[in-house]
Amino acid sequence: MNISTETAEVTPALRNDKRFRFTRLFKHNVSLTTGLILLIFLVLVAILGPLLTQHSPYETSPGDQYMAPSLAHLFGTDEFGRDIITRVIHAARLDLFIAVSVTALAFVVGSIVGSFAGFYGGWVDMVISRLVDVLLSFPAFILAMGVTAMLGNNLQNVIIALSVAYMPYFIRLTRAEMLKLRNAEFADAARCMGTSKVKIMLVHLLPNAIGPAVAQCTLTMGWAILDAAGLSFLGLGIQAPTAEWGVMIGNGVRDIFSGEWWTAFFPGIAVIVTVMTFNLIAIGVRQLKED
Amino acid sequence: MVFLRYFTKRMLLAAITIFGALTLVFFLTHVLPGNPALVKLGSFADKAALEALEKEMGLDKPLVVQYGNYLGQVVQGDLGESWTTGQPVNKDLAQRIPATVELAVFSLIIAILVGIPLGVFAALRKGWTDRFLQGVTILGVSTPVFWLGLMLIYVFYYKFNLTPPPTGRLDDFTVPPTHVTGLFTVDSLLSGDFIALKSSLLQLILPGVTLAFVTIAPIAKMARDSMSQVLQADFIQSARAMGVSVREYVIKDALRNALIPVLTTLGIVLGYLMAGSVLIEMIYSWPGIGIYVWNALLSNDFNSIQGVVLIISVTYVFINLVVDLLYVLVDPRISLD
Repeated sequence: MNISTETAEVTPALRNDKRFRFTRLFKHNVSLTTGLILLIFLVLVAILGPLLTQHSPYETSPGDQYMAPSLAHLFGTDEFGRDIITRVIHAARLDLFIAVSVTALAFVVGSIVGSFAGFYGGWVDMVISRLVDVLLSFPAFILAMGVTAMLGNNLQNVIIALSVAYMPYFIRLTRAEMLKLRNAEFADAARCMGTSKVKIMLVHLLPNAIGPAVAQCTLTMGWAILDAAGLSFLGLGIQAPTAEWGVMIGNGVRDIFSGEWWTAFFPGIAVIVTVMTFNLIAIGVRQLKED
Repeated sequence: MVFLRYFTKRMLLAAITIFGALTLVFFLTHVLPGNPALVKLGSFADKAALEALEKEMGLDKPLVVQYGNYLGQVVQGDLGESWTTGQPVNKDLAQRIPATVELAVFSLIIAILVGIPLGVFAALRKGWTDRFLQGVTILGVSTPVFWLGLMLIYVFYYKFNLTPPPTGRLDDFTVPPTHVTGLFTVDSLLSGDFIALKSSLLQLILPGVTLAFVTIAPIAKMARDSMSQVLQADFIQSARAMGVSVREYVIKDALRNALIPVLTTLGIVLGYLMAGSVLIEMIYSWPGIGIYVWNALLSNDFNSIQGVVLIISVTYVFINLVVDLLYVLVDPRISLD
């Protein structure tokens, strides 16, 4: 993922003309605005959605099994007669929570570790860089599968597993920035003032070095949603009967072979819309920087 | 000479990485909770029997000794015995790797055949074609492969019955072709077994297309970006100014130069293919290393897990190495430092 080196900055043209900022931004950067609108929608669904649904995500209804989508059940019902749209909405909260926690953990730990590698250099850098190479030498998803399988399948371990899997990217990005910054004049100035090394690194340099890592966050949110769903689908993540998109798609596998397509279809659409939201924002931010 | 030094350095780094991956996975499997002897005997196992089995599996020895023994084995090319299948891991892998490779190569071919022309076309025509490609790209990277696989099965198998049931590499009534490479399509061609060829191709279509859908996006995007860059280069501009026809400069000059960066993408794409293959193999009951490692993980089958990680890591590192070296060879301007 080639992310350019500076933090998001509003283009000069837009900055000069504050009054028309939003209309111009909208016309100018369709990906970003579409992404942001979708994000607001998703957050609203996650916060307010569960209050608006008529059913409970775990409420079974033996008479209503496998009802096709209709006005009464917009997304249909599953093998226990549970209302699928209710479950999809409730899952939004959990899945967004997973994405945010995974990204936050990977970002915080990854950028601090990356700073140490870039700032101190020498053997610290060598050990960290080799470890990153090792972690990147097999696909993130397989790594996450291994960690959840070993630690046990629950929410906490899914978050740990995925953030470990994405951490190498944050380490690399921050390390590269730190390498560029560590000899900057303001760092020298702080050094002459007698500021300690750790303080220079964390207080003076780190805020300037995390730009690319921040940009990486939106992409990582998308990956986290996809991979968390994948793990649950394989039975290695969140477990049934929890309302989670991957679990729901997993439950729908058998139904595909008997024609009830809706049990797996709608949770999948929810995943696509959510991941697409984050990808659109990522593209939009990159476009902002390119202009 | 410079190239030789670069080559040695890269080989050394690759070896360290693979050794690191093996060490990491060894300690990860052995230190974290999960007792394979217990899994094998079931949770009501008698204590004496459990200890006997642990001894037989070598789990009673100190960890460092176990690690030393394992490394000694691996160096001799022996990955140990799988506790789930009761076979040597080498043999298990030899049976399953061709299945995964066949699927990956098949889907890569589809992805290249669709992705590169799509990218080149988008670069030439900008506007709506370009928007369309962007849409497809975003959709491609946002879609869960396993979900796509299920939906394709529903439409093409359940609804319209165009493809055979997703039961593996051949349908139930077809005998596998004589073993040469392990790739059923190639083997059946070699032995002139057209029934097996037809069956294996039909079985490949859905999983191949599913997997390709995810990889078309990065390939097409790379082709587009690099093509539009090349089209703005001075030598293309001057060719256009001199009246060289579009077809001529695109095919002769631009494409050749644009394809170099696409090469690197293929290294990344391979990662997608292997990660995606676990999920795809589950959906299509494809007997490759994806299902194998999944089973091994669920039953704490350490040797099999380590074996698969070793193979994946070697392939990954090796392919990236080859791509980087090719890159240097193809474009002499790249500095080797």
